[in-house]
Amino acid sequence: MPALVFDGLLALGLVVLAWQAVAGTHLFRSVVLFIAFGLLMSIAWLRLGAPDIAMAEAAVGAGLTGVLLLNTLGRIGPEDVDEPDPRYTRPLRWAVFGGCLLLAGLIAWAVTARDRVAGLAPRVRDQLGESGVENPVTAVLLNFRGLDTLVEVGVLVLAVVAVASLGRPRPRPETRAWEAPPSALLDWFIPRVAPVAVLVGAYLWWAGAKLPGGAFQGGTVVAAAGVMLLLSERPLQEALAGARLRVLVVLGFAGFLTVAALSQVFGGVLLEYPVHWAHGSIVAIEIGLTLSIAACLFVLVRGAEGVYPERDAAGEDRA
Amino acid sequence: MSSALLFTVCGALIVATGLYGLFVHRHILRKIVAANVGVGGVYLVLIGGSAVPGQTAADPVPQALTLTGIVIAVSITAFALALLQNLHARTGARSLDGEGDP
Repeated sequence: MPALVFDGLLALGLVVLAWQAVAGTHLFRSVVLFIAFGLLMSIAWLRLGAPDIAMAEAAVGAGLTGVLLLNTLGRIGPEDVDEPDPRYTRPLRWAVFGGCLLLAGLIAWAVTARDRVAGLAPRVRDQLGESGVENPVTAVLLNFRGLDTLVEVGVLVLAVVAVASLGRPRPRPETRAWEAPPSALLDWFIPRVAPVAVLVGAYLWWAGAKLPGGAFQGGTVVAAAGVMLLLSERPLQEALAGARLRVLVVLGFAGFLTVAALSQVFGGVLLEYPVHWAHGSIVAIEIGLTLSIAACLFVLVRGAEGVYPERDAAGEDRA
Repeated sequence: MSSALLFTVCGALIVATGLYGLFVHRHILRKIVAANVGVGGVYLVLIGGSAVPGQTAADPVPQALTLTGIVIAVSITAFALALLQNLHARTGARSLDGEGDP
């Protein structure tokens, strides 16, 4: 019973934060509340028995997405107040609200009203011995549904290419850029905590075969370390740029694709590893994935700066 | 009423919240936040809805789907924000209604 009360408060907090993040008037407040929402979400994942998601949510959902949003807010004018669209008059807003609420009811009804089925967990458990790893989530990600993960990493690389090809726009003169004031936290603490974060990332990658963790969780923690270092203005920009950075970005996708091609050529089935090769294949793919996910997320936070040689965004001359 | 059911209903409400924000607000950054909030609700519905009574660990297949979703969502968000920065740098607009500030 106390657990249910806790979950009830958590669920209530999630809905309230979601509403505040979406419907408030100040954008900065909204972004901060979104980060808090992500942190509460990761507690909810623990309560639902999904520690793998909890880690990814805390690092990506709350952390990196929050940094991306704050970065953009800083570039386009942080003092913005956002009123609802005037085309949406009050009655129309209520109508939209009602419609969305109806949809929520339908979703909840559709999911809960169906007959209870055992789900796929027992089938995953039965086949786990053949997968090469002991963590069922890693088994699904890299063996049973490896194709999904392959395409997902492809999307991540594509996002880097897309952002890089947009070029880096110079902020408009009227928007005042945010400058972090020098502080002991940035200059002393972060360079010391970042190596620990990298170690944690590497551990998560290694532990992912048996315990909650894996390439995604490890990669995002390493990316977060990189982003913190960016804030403290260590010379990471020069160290990680150009060809070296491009190799890191595509390494995971290329490695995964190679394994996929080998399994197709020698086994006849895409991404079906022979049982005694499975563990080695998965751990090898995950090394590449951890590095690439870290590199891709890091580059996305930097606005893809340094991927290509410096180039101005087209159309900037007009501005 | 179990916790899984609670979080499923909570997820459905969050989907509705995100959708509402996506409709009603003009500022693109707000729309992006709303989309991210709504996506979080979808994950909750996925995991909460697939929970089996008596099982402590969540079903690994929806867990893997959600992990994939989180990475895709951050990729799309980064791209959308880069588009917004470009739009603002070129035209000064922060919404899609036309010229100038919203």
